[in-house]
Amino acid sequence: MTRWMFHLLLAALAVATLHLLLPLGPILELRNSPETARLLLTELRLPRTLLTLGYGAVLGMTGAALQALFANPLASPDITGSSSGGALGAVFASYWLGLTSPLALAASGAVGSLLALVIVITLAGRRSDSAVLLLAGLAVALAAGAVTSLLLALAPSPFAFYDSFEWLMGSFLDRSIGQAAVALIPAAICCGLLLKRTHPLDLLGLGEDVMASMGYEPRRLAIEVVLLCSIAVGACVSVCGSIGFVGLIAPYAARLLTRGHPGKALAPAAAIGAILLTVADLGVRFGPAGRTIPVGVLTTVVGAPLFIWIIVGMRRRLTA
Amino acid sequence: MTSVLNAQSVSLARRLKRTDLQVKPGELVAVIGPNGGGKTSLLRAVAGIERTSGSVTIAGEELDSIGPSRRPYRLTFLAASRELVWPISTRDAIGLGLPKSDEKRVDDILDLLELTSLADRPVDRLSTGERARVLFGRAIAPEPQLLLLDEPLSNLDPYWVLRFLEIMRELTTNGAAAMVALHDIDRVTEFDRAILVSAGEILADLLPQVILGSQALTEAFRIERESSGWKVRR
Repeated sequence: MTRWMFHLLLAALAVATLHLLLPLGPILELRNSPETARLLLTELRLPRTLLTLGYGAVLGMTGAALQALFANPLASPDITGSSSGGALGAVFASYWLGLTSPLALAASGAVGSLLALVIVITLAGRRSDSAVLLLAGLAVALAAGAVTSLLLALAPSPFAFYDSFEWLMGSFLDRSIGQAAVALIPAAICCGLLLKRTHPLDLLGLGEDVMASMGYEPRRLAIEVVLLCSIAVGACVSVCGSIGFVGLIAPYAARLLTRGHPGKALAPAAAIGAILLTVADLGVRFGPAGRTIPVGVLTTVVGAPLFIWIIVGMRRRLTA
Repeated sequence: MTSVLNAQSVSLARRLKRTDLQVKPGELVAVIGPNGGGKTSLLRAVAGIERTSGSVTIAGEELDSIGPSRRPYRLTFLAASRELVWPISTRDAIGLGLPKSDEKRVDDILDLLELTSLADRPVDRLSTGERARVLFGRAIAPEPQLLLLDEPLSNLDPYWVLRFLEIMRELTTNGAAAMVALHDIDRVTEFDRAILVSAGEILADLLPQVILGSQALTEAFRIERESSGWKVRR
């Protein structure tokens, strides 16, 4: 393990500890009833901490994998419409098929996410330029968002829109340990399998022909990466909603550590994504009293300027 | 003597007709032909990148049975494109050609191609000619038995054209072989053998001096040789 990876893991652990313990007030107030304090920590705060860490890691790693696959630093679960597709899948299953099991919702999210990615690849091509990928991703994200709104508006339950608003914007509020398990166990398996593809994803940067001549199968790798990313993102979206920009920013930062290697960036991108999302959720917790800001809104507010910065940097490089 | 390359009935749908081809150890083979004639398709089919039919053996071993950990020691392919997507360093780009990390070998290649001073520079900050050297370095780093090089001499200044030819010759003296797609037909005289590919098939497989005077070359390229040089055939 490299030194910076060790430091990133330490930072993630420190942020997770803070996320679990802060605000300290309620825990101190319960010092005379340790059982209630334990319940507060394990039943309320632990699932939220695990989800912020896990979902952040999923966004970071899948963002890095999709960027390596599309050979494009602007690819990410949100930009490619994968997150919106996951949300659409979960909404359809929940409000129209009446499914309530978290596992069924996670599976529906994965299918929606997969369909969105397949449509983007069909529209833009796997190794398309940034503009085409962005347009295809934008089209799919907008379409998925519109269909999600339509499904909610016409849903049998008149409260569907109100019920799902906070979830759609990305939230970790009041999630159970069971929900965390449904999102994070498949996500962890997928991330482990993605990590095994680090070297082929690096070689993909030499071009598909060169990679194929080295004994790898680019088409098979693409199918595997899309499938693994869809399952991981879809499962997390079904529990916590769609969260923007972490999957874009974390790989960008990770590649600064791996000297530009897109495959080697998978592990640090996961750690950076975990740290970013956990810090963002801590920020939400310390937001204005009586108001709840969905964490997805906060990541978008912070991430959008960084996104613009990346585009300006790309433009400078292209015109240099 | 076992051929380095033995290709039987290899083809690519609509681009390369069924082709048999053998290359012996130490051979430096030029592949020439008009644009779109099938030079790259032939190299791609031999490299196992894409193949509709046929089989390829490298030094007697079936190519498809050679996994990624051994493949670069048997065969490497240099694409005609000089683009690299990610801004990795020169050193790292060359290192990607090796299945196992080998800093000493990368240093040797950097030295051979006079890239040591650019070793840590991101490849997107290199000129096209410098990137051509980096990618050539990636291809030769594992010392493969068969080099398949698509237009390696493009974008190079005269010094580096001559150096690449010298390096390819040095590599083949140890029993390796190289197939090199070329645009500049006058360069074929530097090779042991020349293959003319046009309309997706091998039209001629001759000694370089012979192929330059052949009717097949004249017809494939629609040019003819006169005392003052090549002229468009009217």
